[in-house]
Amino acid sequence: MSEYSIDTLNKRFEGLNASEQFDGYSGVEVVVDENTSYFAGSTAGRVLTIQNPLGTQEQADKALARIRGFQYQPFTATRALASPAAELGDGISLNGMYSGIYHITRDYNSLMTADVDAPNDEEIDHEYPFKPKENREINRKFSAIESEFRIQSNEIAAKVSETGGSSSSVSWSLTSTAWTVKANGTEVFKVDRNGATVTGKITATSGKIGGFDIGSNAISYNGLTWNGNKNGIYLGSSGIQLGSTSGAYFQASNSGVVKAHNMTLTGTLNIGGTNITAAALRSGAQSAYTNGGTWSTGAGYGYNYNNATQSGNAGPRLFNCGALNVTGTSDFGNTLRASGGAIINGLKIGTMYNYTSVSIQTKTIDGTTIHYLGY
Amino acid sequence: MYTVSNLWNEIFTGQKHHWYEYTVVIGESGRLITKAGENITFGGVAILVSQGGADSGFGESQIESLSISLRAFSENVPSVGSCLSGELDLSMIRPAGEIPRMALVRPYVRITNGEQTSEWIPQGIFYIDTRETTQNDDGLDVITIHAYDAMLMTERDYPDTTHSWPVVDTAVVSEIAAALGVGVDERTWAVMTDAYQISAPVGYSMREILGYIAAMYAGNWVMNYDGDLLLIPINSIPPETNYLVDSGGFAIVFGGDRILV
Repeated sequence: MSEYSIDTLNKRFEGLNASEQFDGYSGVEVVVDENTSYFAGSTAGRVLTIQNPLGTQEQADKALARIRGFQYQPFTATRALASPAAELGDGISLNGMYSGIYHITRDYNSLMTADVDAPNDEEIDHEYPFKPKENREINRKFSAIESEFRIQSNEIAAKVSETGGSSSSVSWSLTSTAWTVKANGTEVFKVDRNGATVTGKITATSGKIGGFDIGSNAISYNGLTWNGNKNGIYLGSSGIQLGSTSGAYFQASNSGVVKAHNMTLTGTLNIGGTNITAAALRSGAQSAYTNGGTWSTGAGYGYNYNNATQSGNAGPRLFNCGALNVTGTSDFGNTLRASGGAIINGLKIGTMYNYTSVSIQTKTIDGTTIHYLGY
Repeated sequence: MYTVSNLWNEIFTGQKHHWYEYTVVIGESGRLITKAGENITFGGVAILVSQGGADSGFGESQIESLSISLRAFSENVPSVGSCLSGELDLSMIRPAGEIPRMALVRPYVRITNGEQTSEWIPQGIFYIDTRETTQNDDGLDVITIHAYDAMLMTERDYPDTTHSWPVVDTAVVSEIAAALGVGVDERTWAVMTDAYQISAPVGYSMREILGYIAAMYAGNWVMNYDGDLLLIPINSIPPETNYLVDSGGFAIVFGGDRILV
């Protein structure tokens, strides 16, 4: 049985050229493909790169355990009297230098002279980058495949039709017109020439949609932020804001505070549970209108008051109204001026102007000066 | 180092001048011929001789040149995961016997000091790839042969298998060796101790699978002198030892043994 041993030649060779011994191996990189590789050890010393599509991390670890610390000694010996029993992988000792037999070319003659070497033709010895044969082959393959894909991409777009996945969970279908994804048999995502359609949950914290910027907790238009002063739109966790706070704007906060520059209500305004309408305001039926101040209306409007009581001069003043109907005991503490007829049942009047007719069903006129009565 | 006899070592380390003799066996069988390459006949019939051993090979008198190149790396850098073919170049007086296509070429070598002669040891098994016949100055046909060892045959698809995959890597190597009709060097099994599981090698050549296995063990495949598969780790060389030598660099021996210092 053969075993690896040492052929000690000492000075029995014609020529010897030895390079500096390599650093010891400290790492192993197993390259599986362009995107996958496994590394063991460190880059402190030399790293052995292994191309292997069957590679694993375990292989990298074990390969490193085998070669860690091994120092390769390059050399070339010409016309060495190497024993014909010496084999590849044996050690060889030449004039104090020790290495291995990694390449041997023997001429058969009575001396059995041989050129023996441990080759060294690495990148560091070249002015231009050098790649080992394996790397070049892999690169050529990837380049060829990439070129092929590029050339045939149009044909693929026109011809491809594939399906995959599980119909019971997530499946996909790729045809010449659309790419669809289904979950439990229901289409949840589709891309066709019109764009993408999503059914179901969408999560995004950045990007744009319809001109709106998507943020982590808001979407906005024109960069408007809460209480910001840009003329845009903000819909976010603080509330809703339209327009700049430095100008006309509308704002509704998440705590229920509404601010508006101008507002037109066409329906009902509810304050504290009470609906307030424009007609009710005009009729005085709302207590809001009994709280003093001057109310000047246009001619032709009629108003009905019921129990619109207000004491003193702070009471409502009614000017230039149309027909007036007071059905309850109402106190116009200051002025009542009406251009239409007035039916008053229970009335206290401070000053009354411009009545075309007054029908007083209760005769008591107490402390009141009536001007122009009977016009 | 190929295992040699004590006689070999005795001649090699002896004080008497020694030299080597070599021979080449071509094909599985041949015919007995004269030095000029003409058939020696008996009753008009060429005499068939066995080509099974080195003694029946062509000697130095018929061989003009013989050279064998073996390598353990695929490139001129330390690398692993390859299958390397040995190459043989032979130029000799064309033998009278027929040389079939892809015929075997088996060189042998021995050591002698004129009084003692060792056994023949093989130098590999090669298969003829190309051949060319010319004439030398003596008007004799000279055939020039270029041959590779059996590693070149691993380029074929992985053979029909009886395994239930995946299987352990050693079983894969054995199956490939059987398909090639070669053995496996015992040193290989001493290296392959990690028992990696190999998946079905569909679409792979035997060479690719061997290369992947070699990569797992940080080594390369070659064919040894017996023609068997051998996995050589990148760091196969044994620890350095030094022997006592004389001023000419020759080992000083004591009782036939070199003196380790």
